[in-house]
This record gives sequence, structure tokens and C-alpha cells, in this order.
Amino acid sequence: MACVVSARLAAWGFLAAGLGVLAVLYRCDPATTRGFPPCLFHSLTGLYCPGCGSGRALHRLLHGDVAAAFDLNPLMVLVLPFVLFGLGVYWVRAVTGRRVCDFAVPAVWIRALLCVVLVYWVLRNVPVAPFSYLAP
Amino acid sequence: MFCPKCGAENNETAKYCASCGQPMEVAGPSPVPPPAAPMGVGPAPAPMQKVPNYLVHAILVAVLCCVPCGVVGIVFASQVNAKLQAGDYRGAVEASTKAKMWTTIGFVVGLVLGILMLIGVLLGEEEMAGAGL
Repeated sequence: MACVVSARLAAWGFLAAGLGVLAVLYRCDPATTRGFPPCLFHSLTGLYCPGCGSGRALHRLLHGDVAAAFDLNPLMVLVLPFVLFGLGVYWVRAVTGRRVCDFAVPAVWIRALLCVVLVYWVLRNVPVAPFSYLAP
Repeated sequence: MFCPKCGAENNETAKYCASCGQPMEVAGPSPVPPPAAPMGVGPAPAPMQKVPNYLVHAILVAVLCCVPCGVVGIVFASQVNAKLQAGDYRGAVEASTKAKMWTTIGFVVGLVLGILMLIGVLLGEEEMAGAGL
């Protein structure tokens, strides 16, 4: 990807696109607005995927309602700061060319995250409290 | 060799340019190349960090675009770091390539599906009842 377009240009492009998406999410609530892409997994199976509710949760977060966002998709709310940090690091590296925050995440942490995602995927579809709180 | 300053030709072993007196770089053929970080031996700091694991991309794809591809991406991302920790640089690069491939596939699938759904909705052809994002 970086052969045709410079990494710096791509970084600015993604930032602009990301801010655009956030602007749309700020204005429009996916719960009440048509046009947002629905979850394919949910449409096919009726079950929740790990990401279900994250669009609505982001909308709530953008309006400062952390509790409502947590209610919709707790995993996404918890993981979001790390994802934003990781994206920030990628962006700074692409734009400045310096390898900032260069630490290796131990593989076992990544596997743990994977297990959490998979378990969350299963548990949030169990319609029994307390697991039902994991569902949107 | 030629003097870097005035360009005059000098002996290969000359220390100073015979023409202008500029000290010549003692270039010469290095008898032994500097030992590169040996692959597969202990934690090598420099090349270790240069293999991207696409973890953040995989998480985003898993949550937003296409769960199976994102999950596979996370699996390969963990392999990248595991192999780096074990000193298997080549294996890490292989895992990194696969992580990139799967996250890209997931991203494209999600993007295409999203655009198709959006077109469908805007054309009013299907009422997308059910959960939004």
C-alpha cells in the first residue's frame, strides 16, 4: 500500500476519513437512522457478534454518555482506549517516520485478548443475567 | 582512490591526498563485515520491532467489519509477537504477512457489504429491520 501512496498521505487520509465517520456518528444515532451497515452475522443468525452495538455505543460516547455506551457493548468501551492509542502510534509513526512507543506486546496478552473476544461472543448471546448485560 | 576534496588520484593506501593534503578516509575493504544481529539467537532488539503485527487493525476489523477475518487476524498477530519473542524472525514475517492479508480481506468485505447495504437502503429496496451497528 505504501508503495503507491506515501505512508504520510495515507495517514492523513485515514485521519480525515475517521473524523468524517465520527462526525456522522455524532449527528446520527445508528439506532434510529437508516443507512448504517447492519451486522451481517446478526442478520444471518440473529445472534450478536462481538461488535454488535458498537456503533450505537460510539454515538453515546460522543455525547458523553459512557454508561449507556457500556450498556450497549462493554467490551468495545473497554478496548477503545487501547485501540485509539494504537492508532495514534501508527499515525505518528507514519507522519513523522519515527518509531515511537516501540514496545513488543507479549504474544500471551494477544492470545488472552482473543480468548476474551471469543468468550464474550458466546456469553453475550446467553439470554440469562448476568450475561444478558453483555448484549446490546 | 580519489581524494574526496580535490578529486586527485591517490594510492589505495594513501593516508593524505598527495595534492591537497586532505586526510583520506581509511575506507579499504573491511576484512570482516560487522556481525549482523544473528537470527534465531536470543532477543535481538533492532529487527524485532520492525515486524508489524496488525493487531490494532485486526481488532477493528473484528469489531466493525467482518468478525471471522478479524479473529483470524488477531490469531496471526499473536503469532507474530510469539515468533519474535522466540527469535524466529522469518516466521514472524510470515505471520505478519498473513495477518495483513486477513485484516485486508475483512476490511474489504466489510466495506463492500457496507456500501451494498447503504445503496440498498438509499434505493429503498429493502427495509433493513433489525440491529443497526
